[in-house]
Amino acid sequence: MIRISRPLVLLLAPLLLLGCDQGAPNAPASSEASTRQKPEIFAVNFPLASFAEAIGGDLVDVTTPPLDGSPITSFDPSPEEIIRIQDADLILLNGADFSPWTQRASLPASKTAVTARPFRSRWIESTHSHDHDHDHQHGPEGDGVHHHSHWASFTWLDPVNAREQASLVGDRIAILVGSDGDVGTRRTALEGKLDELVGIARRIRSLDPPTMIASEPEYQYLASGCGIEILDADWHWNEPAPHDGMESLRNLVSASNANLILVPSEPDAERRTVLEEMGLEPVVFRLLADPADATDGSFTELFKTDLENLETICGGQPTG
Amino acid sequence: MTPGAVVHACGLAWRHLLFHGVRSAILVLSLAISLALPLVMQSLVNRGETATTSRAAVTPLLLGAPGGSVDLVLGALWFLPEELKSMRAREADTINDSGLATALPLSMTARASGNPVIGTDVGYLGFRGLEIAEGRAFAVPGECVLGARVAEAMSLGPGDVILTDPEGLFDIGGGYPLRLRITGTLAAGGTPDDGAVFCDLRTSWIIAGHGHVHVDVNETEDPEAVMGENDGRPIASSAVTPYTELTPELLSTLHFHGEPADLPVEAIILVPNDTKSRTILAGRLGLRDDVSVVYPAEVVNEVLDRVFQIGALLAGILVATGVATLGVVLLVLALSIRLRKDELDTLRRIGAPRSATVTLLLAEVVMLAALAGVLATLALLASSALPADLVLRLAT
Repeated sequence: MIRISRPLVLLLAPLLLLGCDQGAPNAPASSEASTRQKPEIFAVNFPLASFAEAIGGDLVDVTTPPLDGSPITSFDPSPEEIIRIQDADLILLNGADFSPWTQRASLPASKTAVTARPFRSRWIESTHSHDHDHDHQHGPEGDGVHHHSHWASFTWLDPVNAREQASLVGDRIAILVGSDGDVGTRRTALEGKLDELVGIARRIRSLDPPTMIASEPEYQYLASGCGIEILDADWHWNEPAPHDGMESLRNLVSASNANLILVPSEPDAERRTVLEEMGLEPVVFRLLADPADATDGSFTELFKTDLENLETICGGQPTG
Repeated sequence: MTPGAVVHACGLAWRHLLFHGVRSAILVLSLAISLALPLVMQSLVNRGETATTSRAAVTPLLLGAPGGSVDLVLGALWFLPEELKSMRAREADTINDSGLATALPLSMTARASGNPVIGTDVGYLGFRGLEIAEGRAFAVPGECVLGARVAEAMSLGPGDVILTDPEGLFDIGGGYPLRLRITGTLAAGGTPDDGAVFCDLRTSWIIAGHGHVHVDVNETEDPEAVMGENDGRPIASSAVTPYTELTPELLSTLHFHGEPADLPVEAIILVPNDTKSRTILAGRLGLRDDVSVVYPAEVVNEVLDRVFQIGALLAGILVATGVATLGVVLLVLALSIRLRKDELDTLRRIGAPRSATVTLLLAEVVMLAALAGVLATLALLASSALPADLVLRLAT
């Protein structure tokens, strides 16, 4: 009978065990091929979506935040929705504090374009800060004094900004699908339309426009672009009255002698009566943030209509 | 000599080896070690070279604060606990805006249960080809994904939490450990990513105490929460403690002490769009004194050259040791034959031919060598369980 001595067994056993433990690392799993036919572009608001559609045409699929009748500024995606947005081929953000969720979401920088960042030095600090501030400091020595600068976020209401944002969108789409052929042609056409809007804004500025009351606080860039002095009534148009009550608006009117109020949509009869009683004529100028606004046309078409209307009110003669 | 005689000679040789088990085991072990050491070392060096150069090769450029380039590469690519200086996160924004490259910032100061916590852009996972094995990627601050080795070692998965390590055991004024919600685990890739925890860059800043969420001191009903005012700004008392978990409900109160773009990152991986962009970017960054741009492949090659020099020296020593061991083994066998003179005489007198005696002795040597060879092979196979980048880690 074959007998194996104990020392030899003791010598072989651990090495046999070690030899059995291959433990080779697994090779990385191959990534799944994308099943999408066209590159998907997620745009955080209507202007950016409109620019992407105008330049990308049928080469791209443009999506916007899924809204259920609520305004786009109240969109607050769940983590699962953020994961879906991460999967887009290009993510167009506005910047300047538009959509605070974008400052909390983990979005891939390589696929994300913050379109207002190139003109960061021209961002306007918001005059509207209630409900958002949580300035405070920790401890009496002020350790960790932190407060937010809130920026006015509807940057596209200055046509110069809109043109720069569209330019960045064009650059990123060119990287995505190439800049030859139709893309280049469409981009040139869009830039022509935006140049036209810049021209209208310049003409309004040259007309020395009257002081106006702004119902919504978001008209700061429009005022800056067109050289209009505006007074913020701090009135969210979907609310029944200004934040500080109707009396504050009366005081503002009497103090400024302004007789025009910028409003984002046509006031109903009751609200129009209230405004007329105060001697205010409503001037409808759409904010154009929501994709719902797209039902009436593209961003440039809608913006042009409102700018020309404003030019007429300021005493100009629209050339279009 | 007939085959049957050879089998008998082998049987006798095997019996002899078993009878002298301790001596046989020592001889086998000595031979096996002499054979295995150079083989295992060469294998480790080869695997280490492949693993380290491939990881470095797919990392085109690395940006860091001025300092040691080796430390920067080892910290950013292998997550080794190097003391790295930091730079502002806005460097990454500037590079992304330039359109020349994608910048992937890395914050590597935090740890969770001893594992490195890497705060980065979610695009890092795609850049390294890391697949989500279970769950999903992180979507907001406070969430994380685990490398395969961490998930396996700690038996954690999506839905669980992992606590970050406090900065200092005796630092009672240090940051609070943060409970990170695990949203996914990564598939094993045999890389340093397997041993890390990945989260959003902002999560790392919160762990480091640069930002936090807590109750709104303007609205809290706790009279102890506010200790006074400074220019209309409420002064929060120590009764207001930061939350140790960033729940979705609290995220709207997340704020940082300063502009996020001014907060620190230790390294930025740069992925240029093309060769021209890479040249332009390296040229621009190379002119600056406040940052250091390095080519990881070049740095790793320098390190490996050093490893190879040491390896070659070590291999020479091991070969010399092996030859000496072989000499000792042959001496032992020669002495053994002399000691067995009477036994071999007996074999001759009972009619065993000289060839049978030679076969018997040769069989013993072959058996010892074969066993040693098997052990050396097993040791070589077992060494494949060691991390591929072990040599680099040991060398540094």
